[in-house]
Amino acid sequence: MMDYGRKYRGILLLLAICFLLNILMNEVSYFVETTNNANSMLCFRYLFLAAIAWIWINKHNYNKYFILGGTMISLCYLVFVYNGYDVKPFINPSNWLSQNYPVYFWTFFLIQLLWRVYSKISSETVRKAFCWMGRNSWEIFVSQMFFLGFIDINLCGIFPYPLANQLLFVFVGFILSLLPVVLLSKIKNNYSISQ
Amino acid sequence: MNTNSRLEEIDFIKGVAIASVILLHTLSAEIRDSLFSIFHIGQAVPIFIATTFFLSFISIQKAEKSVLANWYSKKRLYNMLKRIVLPVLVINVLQIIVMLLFKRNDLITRILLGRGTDQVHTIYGFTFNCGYLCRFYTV
Repeated sequence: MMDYGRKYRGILLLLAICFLLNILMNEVSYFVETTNNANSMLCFRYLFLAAIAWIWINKHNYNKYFILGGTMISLCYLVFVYNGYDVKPFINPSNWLSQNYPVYFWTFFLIQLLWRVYSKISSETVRKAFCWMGRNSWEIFVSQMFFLGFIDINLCGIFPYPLANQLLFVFVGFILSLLPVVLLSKIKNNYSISQ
Repeated sequence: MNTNSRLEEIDFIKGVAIASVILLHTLSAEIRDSLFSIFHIGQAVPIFIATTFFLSFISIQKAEKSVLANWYSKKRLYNMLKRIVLPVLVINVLQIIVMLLFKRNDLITRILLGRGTDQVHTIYGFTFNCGYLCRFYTV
């Protein structure tokens, strides 16, 4: 028991500190309106994910029931949020409720799920396509940031059916996000070959 | 499990996450709700941040002191500026040019102040982008 305590003391301390700082920032921003933007800063809002990433690295050292328990709590929280229950004052309602600290064990679960899905995908093309998107995620994000400044679903309202317009907008969204990155990659490749 | 296969898995996870981000930004709120998006694609950003922390911790664990010692080195900061800050600035300048062409001064103000609009689906401003710089500041 003593060894167990020593072994996990650092990790538990990290978890506790991240969790408490996350809660503290939420509470301060909830009660003091001027600090609301400070809580929107990612270093505060997502701090507890540092502890989750640490669990991810050392997951074999953790009791699976501990992780399962955390996941269930996260899932309950998400169900609460989805059904519109009041989560004040534990969570600042002006921030994204579904991306706050109580949900991060669920995020961890999704990551583990995707990790396993990767090895199960039989299609090499699909795997490569997602890996390419992952490697270029920043560039893809930036290019979608650009086009979303000017285009919205109303501009894609060419069909009489709303669902068709929605699908068209999603399709246009993917094309406009990916195309500039594909072109840039090709230019970069050609440039490096000619060098 | 070797390093390459692990990184490929991380790439795959980030790939799914960025596809989710595009879906989140292009699907209407009603459809997102009906698809229970907060349980899956709605977790894209936390997934990104978690992978960022994960990669950072792995780098620190592997190289220990050298990574932390070079964390604010000129080379690292230059690479970060080139890979992360420069594209954002280019995009913001392009957005402003397009809006000048369409004479949308109201939107230019919003880009500079970093506020969303009612008319336009999403406008990401300089201040908001600063947040994203931290988000994607991967090792």
